[in-house]
Amino acid sequence: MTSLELDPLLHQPIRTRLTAYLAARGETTFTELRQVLEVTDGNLDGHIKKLLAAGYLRARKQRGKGRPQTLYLLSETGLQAFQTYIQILQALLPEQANERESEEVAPADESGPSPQTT
Amino acid sequence: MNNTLHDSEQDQLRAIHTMLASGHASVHLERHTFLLWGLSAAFLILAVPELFSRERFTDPFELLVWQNSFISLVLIGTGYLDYRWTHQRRHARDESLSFVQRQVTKVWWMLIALVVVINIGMNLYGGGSLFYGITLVLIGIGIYVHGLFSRQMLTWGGGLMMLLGLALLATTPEIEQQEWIAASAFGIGLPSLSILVNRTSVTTGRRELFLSLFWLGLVLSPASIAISLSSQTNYTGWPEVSLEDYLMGGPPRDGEGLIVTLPAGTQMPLNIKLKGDTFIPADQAVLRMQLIRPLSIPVSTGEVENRLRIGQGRWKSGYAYRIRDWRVTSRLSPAKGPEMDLSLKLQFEN
Repeated sequence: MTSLELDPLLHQPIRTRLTAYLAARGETTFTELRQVLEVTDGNLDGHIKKLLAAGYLRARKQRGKGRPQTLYLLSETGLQAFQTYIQILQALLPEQANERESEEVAPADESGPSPQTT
Repeated sequence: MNNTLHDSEQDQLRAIHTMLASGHASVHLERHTFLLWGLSAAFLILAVPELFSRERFTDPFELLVWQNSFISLVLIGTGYLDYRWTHQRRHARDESLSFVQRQVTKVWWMLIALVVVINIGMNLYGGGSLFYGITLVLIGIGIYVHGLFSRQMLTWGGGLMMLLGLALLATTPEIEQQEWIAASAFGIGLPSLSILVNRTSVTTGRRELFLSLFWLGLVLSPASIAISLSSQTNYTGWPEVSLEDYLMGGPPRDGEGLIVTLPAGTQMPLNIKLKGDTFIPADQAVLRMQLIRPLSIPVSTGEVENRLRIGQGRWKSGYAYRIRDWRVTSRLSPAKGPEMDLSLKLQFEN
């Protein structure tokens, strides 16, 4: 991958949005992701499996009363890949648009919770 | 071709921005949370002064311990119920508590603990007339902070609660009136806020302003009705007797109530009990005070009720007084030796 080549795994609309949501929210369940992204179970499952296989996502089982919940969170690798992806996107944009967009996306790597935090 | 490429990248960045914002604003308060905390707070505001009155607890330290233990118990119980029900509901919907929500909940607990600590401080050092104002401001801050990570309508609700608290601090109405306003702000304000928040996912500034004013009316109307009703205790049918007649006729028989009116100029001894860590307690001092305005006192079954009326004003609680500008100074001179002055202003009206 050259320095300005977008990560093909993240350069897919649903996976980009999924990663961005997890970067800001921390960990979340399959149901919440499905509601936020407005996708079908099968579609979401496919994307999650790809991100899990690449090590971008981690899954954690939470036990309590009733059936255990599976929580998904970004791994350190996933967060780094996401930050790099944004940097490359910004670099590819013309300067004027870049300034406007970088202001909007700035919180991604500054105020998002650590993917390790549970 | 190049433009299309840039458009696609810009779309991606916009999508990222939207999802980041959505992830950050993922805090969601359940409806039962508003209801539980609102009703518990209103219950405490209205019940604690009745349950833990100075008549029931003559020892101030005993009052402090029992009152604050009770308040803490109710708050911890409410917190526990809220925690259980929130987890159960989230689990049933296969949802999780976000990282931000867990952090904001910690801020909430700190604010609630601060309210209890302030109450203990005011039990010990006075300043109780500021309690409800400060509590409304603190809880308003909590709701405002919550709103920053949730629905915008919550920030309006929090802001209004802060304003209500600041208004109480600025005007310091009688404690009974403050109780009704605070009880209404929590007992009616919080549950109604949950309805407004859940019904207004997408709003304009004008609509939020309108809803905020509606909410304010919803909170203040019952409070003003309650204040008006409680001050209308006019003791209809109770005969009014002068102090002279009362002293001649002795206390009323059981079941009888009457209003004793003390005219302006009546001598009223003020028995002073002073104690501290430097002097032998003094409980024999008497100051001969003189009324400058008529004072009416209801007497029922031989007992003086803890209410009074100044002139033709409205009936108010006997606790509705303020001690202001109190000061202790000491002097030493060869002519008079050591002396101390104690000065204070006792007011029954604002």
